[in-house]
Amino acid sequence: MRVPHGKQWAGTFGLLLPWLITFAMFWLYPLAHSAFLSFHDYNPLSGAMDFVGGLHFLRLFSDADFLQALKNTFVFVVGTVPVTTILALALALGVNRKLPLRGLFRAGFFVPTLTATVVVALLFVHLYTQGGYLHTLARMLGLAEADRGLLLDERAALLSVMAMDIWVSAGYYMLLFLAGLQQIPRDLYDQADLCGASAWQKLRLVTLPLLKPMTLYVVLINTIKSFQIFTEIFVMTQGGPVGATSTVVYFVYREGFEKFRMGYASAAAYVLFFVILAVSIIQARLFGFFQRAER
Amino acid sequence: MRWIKYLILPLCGYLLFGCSGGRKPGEKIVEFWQFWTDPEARAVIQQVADEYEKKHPGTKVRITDLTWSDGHQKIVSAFAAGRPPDLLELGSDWIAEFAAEGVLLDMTPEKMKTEYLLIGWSPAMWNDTCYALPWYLGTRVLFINCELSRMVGLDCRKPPITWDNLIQWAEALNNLRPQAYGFGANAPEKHRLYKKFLPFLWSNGGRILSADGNFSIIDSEVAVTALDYYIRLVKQGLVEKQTVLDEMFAGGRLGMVISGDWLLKKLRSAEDAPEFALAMLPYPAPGRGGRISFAGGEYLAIPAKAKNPIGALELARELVNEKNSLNLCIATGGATPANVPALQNPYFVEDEHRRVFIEQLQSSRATPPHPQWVYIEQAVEEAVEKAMYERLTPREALDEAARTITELLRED
Repeated sequence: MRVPHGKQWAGTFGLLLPWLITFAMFWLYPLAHSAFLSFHDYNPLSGAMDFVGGLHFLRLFSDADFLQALKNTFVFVVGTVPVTTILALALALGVNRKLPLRGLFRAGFFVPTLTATVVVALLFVHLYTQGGYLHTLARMLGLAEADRGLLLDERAALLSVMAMDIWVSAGYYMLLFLAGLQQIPRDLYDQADLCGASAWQKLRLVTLPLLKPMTLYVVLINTIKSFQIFTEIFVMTQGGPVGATSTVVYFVYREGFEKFRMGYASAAAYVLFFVILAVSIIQARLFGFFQRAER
Repeated sequence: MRWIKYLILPLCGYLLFGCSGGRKPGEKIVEFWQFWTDPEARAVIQQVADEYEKKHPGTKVRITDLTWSDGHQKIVSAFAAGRPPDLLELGSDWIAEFAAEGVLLDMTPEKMKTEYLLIGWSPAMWNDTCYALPWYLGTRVLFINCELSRMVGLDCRKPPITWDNLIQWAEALNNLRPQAYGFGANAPEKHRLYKKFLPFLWSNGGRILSADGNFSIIDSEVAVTALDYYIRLVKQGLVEKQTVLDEMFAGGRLGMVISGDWLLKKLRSAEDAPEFALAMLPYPAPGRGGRISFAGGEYLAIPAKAKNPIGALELARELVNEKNSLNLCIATGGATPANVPALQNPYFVEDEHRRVFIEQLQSSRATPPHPQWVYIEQAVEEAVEKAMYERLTPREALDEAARTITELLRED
């Protein structure tokens, strides 16, 4: 391997410099500054900054609003990630077959992902509102109250946002699974056919094991994205009713940008960061990611 | 690589001189941040700015449009960065928050001069000092669908005048048509729900804060009665967001709704709107309490760090004068000026609907000016929400709100 000499280093560094500057200004600095803020009381209006130590972190765990937001966030993640993953895999398996109008189906499932989240959220607000199509359908099935839309029903609000999220995200993860499926060598299926394997056995013994890296990627990315759910909540419910759809990022937004408790909001953001980190490590371990890396 | 200098030099020149926004040497700027973004209203604001520039040669008015969804954040960011505009439109419940931090200019001398010309001063005050000029005011009245009323023999020209009447009307108007409701109640929307409950609290003699402002009295007996009544009223119809309620009323699917002048504008511009009447909010009982509604408004304030405070004050005077206030109201079709002579114009006085708004405005009340208002508002809304969703009884909900607000006041 050739080791680059001084001039080459300068050239490489020069080419990387625009990215490094952006990374430092818009990623590293805010990250470090919010860590600093989480130990302070900061009032942006007066500019006053008082050191409070770990008080914000202690207060968070006795704050009923934060605990409710944390619980809702976990419900959202646990409720959406497995369903989205299984649905996306099923769709990918479906559109990977030689079907008539296969391209149309692939595009159709992917279109919701291409649509702006705000647009989709506003569309669903209308569908879920009192008298909207989905509210009427839910009423016919005895799942909704007549005098209030689904997003105003304490029991149905979070489920409704979750259902929309699954509908929007499944197409994107389907595409990732499709890419993973197309990497599996055809010979393995031919060999399985020769051994007389059934379709279920081929799925269980060939497809799923070889899709494991992609499944880990899908589950990780989807989990992180779900923990950070915000736009849908902001547009559709503003955390209501009675905090039933409040999530941690929405809590951070309210504390930071409505009440201007920047320090408290930063502490909540860091708690979420550590939660996501812990869950991601657990998921990677469950999928045997580290063992493979060590080998 | 010599060619690079031909690219870099013009770029540096642009960065050095191009960012001044085309400012000519010696020219003064009045930077004005405002929230009127619909084309008709924006044209009137621009016209006032153009006239101001003609009267003050060498001064340019630079207008920046804000939206209610993120305007507050932008204003706070500008103050935090030490670069606020010269003149600023503020919502009525933001003034105390900014005034308490010392970022607004004292406008008491201007108040002394214009006190008799403008109404709605109370939200502009903090610690006996005035920090803003009232520009536009808004209140909420009862909208009644006359067509649905007639179906059950009720006359919308003789509207409900007591709380009991209001419930009876709501019951009578409920389910007259498929998907039609007697009363439209606000869903737990942030920054909106408290505006619907507080009129009932105030009308029944309740208050949020004690006279000295040191503790909350929202758990008083009259307040609990008001919340109890409000919850009973909510059950007589549909719970939805304000925009949906307005839409449903305009579509003839709501018997009654409490709303503002924007709905009047909507009804007048809709081709298939039902026949409607407006009424002041009812009394708690015959001969008892008041007909108090919520008063909000838009105010003009000058930041303490404004670069051109004199220009800003002159522009503010132009904006609040009779002619310009009236022009803006006519352009928007749904605003009530704080300027008294403008309010006495036939445009308001001879209009049966606008007259109700002006009458209601006389007995409307603004929220108590307080720097912690955003937290107090949240506590009030949470109490109403918990009672609406039967998490707590009205008594328990207001006890909890009183404790939260009192703790906030003590922290302050």
